[in-house]
Amino acid sequence: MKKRLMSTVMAMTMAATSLLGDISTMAAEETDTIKVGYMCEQTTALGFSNAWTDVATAMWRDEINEAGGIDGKQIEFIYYDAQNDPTLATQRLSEMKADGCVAALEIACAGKMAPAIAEWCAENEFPVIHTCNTATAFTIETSSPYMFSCTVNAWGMAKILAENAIGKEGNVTFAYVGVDEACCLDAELFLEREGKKYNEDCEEVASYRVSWDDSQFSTIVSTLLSSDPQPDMILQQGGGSNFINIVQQANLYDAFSVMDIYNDLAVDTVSCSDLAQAGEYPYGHIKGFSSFPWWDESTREFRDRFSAACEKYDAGDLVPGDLTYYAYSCAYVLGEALKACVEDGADYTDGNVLTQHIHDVRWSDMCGDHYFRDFDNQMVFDAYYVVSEDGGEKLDHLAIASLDTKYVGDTWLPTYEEMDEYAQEIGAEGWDVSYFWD
Amino acid sequence: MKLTVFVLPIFTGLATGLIRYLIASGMSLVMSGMGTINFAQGTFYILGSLLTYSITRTLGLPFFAGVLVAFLVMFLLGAMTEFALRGVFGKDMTFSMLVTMGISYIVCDFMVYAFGNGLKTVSMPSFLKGIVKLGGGIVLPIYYVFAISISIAIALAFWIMFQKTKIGIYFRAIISDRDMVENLGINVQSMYTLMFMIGVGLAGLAGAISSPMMGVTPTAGLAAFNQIMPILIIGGMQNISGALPAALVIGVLEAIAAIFFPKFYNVVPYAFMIICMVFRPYGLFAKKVK
Repeated sequence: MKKRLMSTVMAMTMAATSLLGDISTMAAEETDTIKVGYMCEQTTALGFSNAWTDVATAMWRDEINEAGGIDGKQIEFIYYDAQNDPTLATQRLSEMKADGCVAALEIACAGKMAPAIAEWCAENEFPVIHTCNTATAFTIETSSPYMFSCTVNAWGMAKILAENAIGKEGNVTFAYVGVDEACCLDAELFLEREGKKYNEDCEEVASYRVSWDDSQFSTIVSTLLSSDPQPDMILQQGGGSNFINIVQQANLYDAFSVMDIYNDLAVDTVSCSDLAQAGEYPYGHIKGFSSFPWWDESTREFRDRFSAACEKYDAGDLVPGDLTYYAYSCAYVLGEALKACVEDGADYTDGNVLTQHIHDVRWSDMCGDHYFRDFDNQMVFDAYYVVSEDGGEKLDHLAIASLDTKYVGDTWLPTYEEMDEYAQEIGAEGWDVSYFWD
Repeated sequence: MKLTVFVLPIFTGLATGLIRYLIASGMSLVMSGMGTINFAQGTFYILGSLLTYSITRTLGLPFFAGVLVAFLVMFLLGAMTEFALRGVFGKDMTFSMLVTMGISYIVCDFMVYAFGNGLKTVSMPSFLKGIVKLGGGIVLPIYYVFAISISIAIALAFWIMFQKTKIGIYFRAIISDRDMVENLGINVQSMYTLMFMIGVGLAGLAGAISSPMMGVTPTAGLAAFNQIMPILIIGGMQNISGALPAALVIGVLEAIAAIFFPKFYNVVPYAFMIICMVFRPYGLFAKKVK
């Protein structure tokens, strides 16, 4: 009796298992998709921007899918958490490849991961489009034709800051307060280098290195205020809690009466929204780089689409900013490359083919005419030097700025000659990826 | 180098040290009484900040209502944490460490779920904004003066409670000899619960007081925990009276390091902690255990 019962149970289990297997196979066939690896920070302090970037990229995915997809297939994001760890990031990329993803979007991850990722994607011939800056010293030291940057370039930003903060506003000395890694340190390095072109006395007087989740900036601000002589300006790098904490401390110590903060966050809604809503944003004292004038009429159409997407995803009343735009651009470029592959009858599952098509994408939007430069895969876009202003009640007091100082196309980026000269200085070879393109 | 260069950073170091002391003292109490490292203390500190954010920004109540609610909620959460630890009490310390680590992750994920991963900023009361100008160009933020005063008051209250009240006598007796206290018929279990409530409540209070000085993210608990570990080690792991001088020493040391070694100033507390562990593993402010 017992034996019979056992065999009945086993037979039923086997039948159920095989039935489930059939169902899952059917489901897989029915949902044949183009898989895109989506790497972001889900469990670290860097996750502060996810609300914005997730909506921006999902907005692109839904627009593509609602229009019938690409090659008759829907776009599917598979999410991976890099946990701000370069080793884990390469592991996640390997998983992506094994999971059948055609490419990776690396959104708002720390710049320190870029060298490891660049190395991995060159070895594995797998395209990665990212918003973590590498197109400076790190690009020169660890370049890869498979890695594309859709974000601010540290050296380019330093050029803009040098021209305006050192050249026009007359600042001479600066202190660096920022994250101890990659692009942030590049901004520090190149501001002094570029600043000397406008004033030979331009000098970095102190460098405070912090981590992404540091919350104790009181020591730094009080030391800066007590130093003799005081620096004229602060170069701040690192968004999220870093930015908010230093602003809070500078407010507390009344530091803005003697020095201003320069960065690439002056009008970026991701980092500014909460400070503005709390009535703590020091308008006029945060200056620097921006590329997406969200308050300008030119960006209205994007803003409206983004608002609709926020409503759809119940993401609240978010306003898109620089980082949002970079994230969207990453996804948009991939979409255009995939479409081009289909038009050409090319196999987009081949990493080399897709990489070539990503490089060939040319497009224009409210932020200028875009393409990737042959030698460093940096996306070209228009940039502004901005001095934050109060957007007023109508704009929820978010920081906005005058758009008078505009840099069109690649005029703000380091040139090939500049990068080559720097490469020779540091003894780096093979940084130019132009050889890869047909 | 002028002497005034040191004044403001040292003042700031003392203020930072005092705020960190609030978190560390609660942890030290639990560590001394129960022999348990509460890995969730940093997370509780952040939860205190986020509760203050909710009370002030979402509900629109005054800042001090937020501080009070944060303390009370965390006080109660302390009882729940202690309850969760009862199953592993008396076993190897690794068990309780793992349980508190698990609680830390759960609370952290809950905070991400409830508050989102974004940054939160707490506005401070308008009367606490501004600076006090001293001579020689030295300015002191009023909020820091407030934070220092509150921290000193709490440290004093904590000391009085510990040294002069019946509960304090029980606490000290439990720390010295738990079995003896149990044999006297005192409910040691309820004392443990109270220890945890005070310990976690203090973390919440520190989080609430710190909230207007920082941008709060739910995942910053581990960083907060890392900041208090040197205080515990230098003060003496099971030496409750060592937490205050250790917190002040570290605060001042960090401030001086920021003047001379700005690139590495935040490494100094950990370097000092390692030196202490090598030469005085029982703590700089504790007596050698034979």
